[in-house]
Amino acid sequence: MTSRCILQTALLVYFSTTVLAMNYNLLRFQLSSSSVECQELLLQLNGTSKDCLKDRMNFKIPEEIQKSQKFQKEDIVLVTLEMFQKTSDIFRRNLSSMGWNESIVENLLATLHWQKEHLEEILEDIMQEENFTWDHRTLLHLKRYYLRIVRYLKAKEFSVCAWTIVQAEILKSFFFLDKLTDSLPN
Amino acid sequence: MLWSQNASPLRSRNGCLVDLSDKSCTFKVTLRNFRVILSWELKNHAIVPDRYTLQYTVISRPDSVKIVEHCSNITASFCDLTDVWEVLPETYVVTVDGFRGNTTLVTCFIDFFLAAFISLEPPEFDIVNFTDHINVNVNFPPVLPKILEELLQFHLSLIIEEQSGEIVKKHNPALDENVIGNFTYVIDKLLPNTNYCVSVYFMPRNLEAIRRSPVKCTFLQPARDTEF
Repeated sequence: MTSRCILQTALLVYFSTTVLAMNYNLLRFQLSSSSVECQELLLQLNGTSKDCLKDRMNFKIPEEIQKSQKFQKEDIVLVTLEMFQKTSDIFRRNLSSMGWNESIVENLLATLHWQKEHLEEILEDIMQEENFTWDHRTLLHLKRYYLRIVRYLKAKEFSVCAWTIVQAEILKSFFFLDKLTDSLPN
Repeated sequence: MLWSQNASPLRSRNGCLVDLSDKSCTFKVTLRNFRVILSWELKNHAIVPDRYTLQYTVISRPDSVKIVEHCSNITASFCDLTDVWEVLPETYVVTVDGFRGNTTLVTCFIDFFLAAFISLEPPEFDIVNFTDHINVNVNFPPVLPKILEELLQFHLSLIIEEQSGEIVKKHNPALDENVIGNFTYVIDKLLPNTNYCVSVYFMPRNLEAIRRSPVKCTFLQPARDTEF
């Protein structure tokens, strides 16, 4: 009887691990695809920085994100979720000055939303199945980063130049998101 | 992303059109022989400057505009920026002034996200054939510029394509971040007495258009019969 219980438990752990391991492979692919899609859409939003150099600001993307510090895979899920969520929040704000193609913006928001929802599901699975210590510090730095961007937009009254600068910053942030995604284990 | 109006598209990616031109010039940024080259062409061929001066700044920080010394008062319409631009994920803002004598004939402006717009020309390579394998040699620079480190570490893969008849195989050799000098990849388990063609190219992470090298073909010698 005891042996049977041990075997069943072992099989449950094996398949749980296998399913979650498979999810990380799939997640890496999905994140990469979503990121490429978002970058393409951002690049389609027209504009020029020609008269906007005076509005530049260093938003200081967190060093841990920039330098691709080694994260636990669970933290990568949390960090990328935060990045998709906050990017979505930013692009839901006052875009009226830009005259950007509405369908491009809608597609961008749809992609961000889809990926965010999927990451939330993965996060729920992680929280149910595993015990680990979250990296709260990086998350805090990331929240502050996006808050700087929002405050900047508000201070500049969502002007054309402000959005142009932010567009470039978000594009850069996706580059680093790609690097994070790449470090998800097989 | 950041482009000017009245532009004609340079290339497409998944059906989306992007551009690197303003009303006066068309720009290209290319990785060529492991060097980052920015080149430009005036749209109005009636305007013929005899010298150009390039300046640039970046979007992500309020840095001052910088003059690139080796791209000031130059006659060529391109500039090697490999040792000037160190950051791949950055939007560079570039101005090129075209002069004739003391007169500025034209000012071209462009801004672009380097990681998205750099066009990757294939590296030079040669092949050495043996009975059942081919050595593919790619010469990396003796010292890797910083921007190249970033490109090689993350942004692109080296692909070696081997074709025999209708069968094409792709090899993706792992590039160590410290890869320098002569890099050799062995395509092994080949059939003697068979023709093989090899092509090499960089595959960008963002699945941009691939630029293949010209193929190099070789006929593997028959295996020697060593049994008596």
